[in-house]
Amino acid sequence: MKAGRLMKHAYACGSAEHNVSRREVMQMLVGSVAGIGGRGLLSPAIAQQIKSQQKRVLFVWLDGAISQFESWDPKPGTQFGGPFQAIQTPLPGVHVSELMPNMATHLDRFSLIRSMHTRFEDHSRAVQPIQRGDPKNRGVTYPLLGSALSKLIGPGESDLPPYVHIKPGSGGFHYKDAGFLGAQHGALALGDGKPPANMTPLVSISSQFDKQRHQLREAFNQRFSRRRTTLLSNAYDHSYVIARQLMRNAHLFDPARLEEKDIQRYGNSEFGRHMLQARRLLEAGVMFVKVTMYHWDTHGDNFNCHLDGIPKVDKALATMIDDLIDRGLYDSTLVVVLSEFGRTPKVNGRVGRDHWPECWSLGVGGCGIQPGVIVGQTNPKGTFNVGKEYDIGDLYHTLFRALDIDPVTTQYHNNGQPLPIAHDDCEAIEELLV
Amino acid sequence: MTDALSSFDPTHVQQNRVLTHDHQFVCCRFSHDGKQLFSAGFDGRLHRWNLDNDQRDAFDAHQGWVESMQLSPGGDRLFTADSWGQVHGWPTAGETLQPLWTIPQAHAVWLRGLTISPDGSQLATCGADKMVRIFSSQDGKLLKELAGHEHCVQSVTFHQSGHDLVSGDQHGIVKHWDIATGQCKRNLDASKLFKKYHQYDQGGVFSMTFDAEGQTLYCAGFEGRTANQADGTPTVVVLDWENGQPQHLITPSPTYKGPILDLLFHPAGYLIGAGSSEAGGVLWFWKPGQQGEAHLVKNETSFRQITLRPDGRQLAATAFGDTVGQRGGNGRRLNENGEYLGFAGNIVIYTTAELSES
Repeated sequence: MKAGRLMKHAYACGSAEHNVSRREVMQMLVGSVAGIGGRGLLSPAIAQQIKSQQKRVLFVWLDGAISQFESWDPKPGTQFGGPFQAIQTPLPGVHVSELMPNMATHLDRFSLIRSMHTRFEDHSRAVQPIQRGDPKNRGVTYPLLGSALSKLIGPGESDLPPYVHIKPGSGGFHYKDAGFLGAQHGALALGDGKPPANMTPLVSISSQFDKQRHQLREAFNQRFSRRRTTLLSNAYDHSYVIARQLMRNAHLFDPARLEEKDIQRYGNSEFGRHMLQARRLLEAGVMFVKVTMYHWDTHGDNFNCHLDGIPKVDKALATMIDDLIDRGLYDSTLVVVLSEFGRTPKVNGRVGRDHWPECWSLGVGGCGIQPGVIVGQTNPKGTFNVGKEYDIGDLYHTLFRALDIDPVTTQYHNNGQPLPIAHDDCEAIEELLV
Repeated sequence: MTDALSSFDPTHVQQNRVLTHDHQFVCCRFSHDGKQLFSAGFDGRLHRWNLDNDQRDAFDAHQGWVESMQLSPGGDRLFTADSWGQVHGWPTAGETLQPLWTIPQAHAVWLRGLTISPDGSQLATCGADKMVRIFSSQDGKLLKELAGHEHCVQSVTFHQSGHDLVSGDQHGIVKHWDIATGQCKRNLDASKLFKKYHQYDQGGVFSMTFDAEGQTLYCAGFEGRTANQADGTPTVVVLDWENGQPQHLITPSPTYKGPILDLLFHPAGYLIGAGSSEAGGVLWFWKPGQQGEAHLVKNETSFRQITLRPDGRQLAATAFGDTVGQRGGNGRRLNENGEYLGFAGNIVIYTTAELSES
């Protein structure tokens, strides 16, 4: 029995019998599967196989909306093309912006959707639906993708939270990401990629004493929760679980363990460092890592900003793909790169581009995704899509299918209410799927 | 200098007319006799306007954006440079214009500026490849490559002596080059024009000009405020050329938030700056040595670049052409025919002195 197959749909029905962690599976496997070493441990080959089969997701969120003209779908020399040129990729007839020389050479390992067309043209209405898959409104708050997969796939091998968000600025526990799923599926946000302060245990507190006080805290909380429990109290309680996980894995955040050559390979930028941290967490088995880069809302000075920002994304993303491939993890790691919409073809009076949900691009690759596929196209001016267009719900159907989750038959159960995990009226983009 | 120019009073600057095109312009230059105006911008074409009747003809010229153009001192040659790095040398006379020579790629990434030496023999370009290059204006032959900037080089200009060149980059570093040797003699500090906003490099030196005596260098840009909004305090850093030290800043009215994109000196000694902001464009007129601006002229839309007629009697400014689009617009905005059109471009022509009959 493959560990991965046991996880399939195991959490969707929400029943306790199926709430099995991968760690428990591995424990069950000990002593019962061929290939186990004489000391009762899994052989390195089997352990590696399980590790490579575990599904992971890298979700790169470019907040504010990058310009498709200055990235994935350039229109050089046209009315709205801007000042930059385009460069050839390994795919015949396919070009990306000259600002992406690294990803240009990687497009035979990565895929693009160029014909996204979504509903919302302002940030406040777009960001949440885009990250939640914009399902039909059923009177509940749907989870963000990381929380959804925390529920549907479960935690990884790392003894770390299943959903980690690396972002500039402050960190914390973003339990609201989980929507109706509950705080335990919220995001651990690492401000600037760093863990919370005070992770080092006091030397005056022995591990035995720490265990006892933890048990006492849990006993009190369980008593409290029998009578009254709220999302906030669950979140608060869960934050202690997370804290202990982080303390057990402090080595993953030790900058001294980073090699200078890796820092340079990812680009010595904030985003590059965050992507490098993301790689460490993915390697350690964290199931879902989101990396956010802000300030892409280039209503003014669009071209200088993209000249500065796109190469940072380009370098770090290409390096990440290389590293995932080198480590045998790319086939089990789904990589998604997107924003909340695109940017206008028209260049405004501040030499900026405004919001454009009419046609925009995103990138996907890795687990379950056919490499080197360009889905959809825009017209020669880049103003509107030509042919079939895709909504964010279609993307989410595709992502779930890429992770071996059936988005049509799989359901959440929220207090007895069955809920589809993706928009009912959308469907997967078959040409993207392996 | 004629009496009309020496008695120039910026408060008497009057808008003469507006030339309009359906694509945005970036740069323009008057012909030597002031009867024509050359312009170029987003459509990559070279436009030639007859200022007697505002008729225009256009010539296929470039790809990408035409970022800059320069006229030779004698007025018989025009030089244009585009964002893809291509530079053309043109004749200015003739019914149909064709380039006399072409530099296929002066810069590998985004050519940002083009300037001409005082004697007209050399051109200098700068770009996002962090390079400055000097070419012969006769045939486009590469004469010198100046390396040393660590950031995108956004502006370049010659000193009146003809022996020195300055280039300004996105971090506000101004390099002073010895043209003969190609060596960098010193760095000058205009870093007031640069701001690191989160992970973004914002601002830099957008334009530079020397005063008539070549003793002071003026560097234009802004003190950035918010990433990606092109706002912040319009600023000119004034540098003493002899000792290289910053003298003071010129920071015009706080009403406008946005960069000063272009600078030039009027023969009467006024420094003129062209600004861009969400509130529209502004021409500022400063008299060095005097406190505050002598005058400002507002425009409903942002300015890009400015140029003076060779006799100084008119000033032309490329400007954004749509008051609604000046402030941007999210989402689908179609015209009455259901078409999605780009924003127009204007050239606003001002009279700065009484125009002679000739």
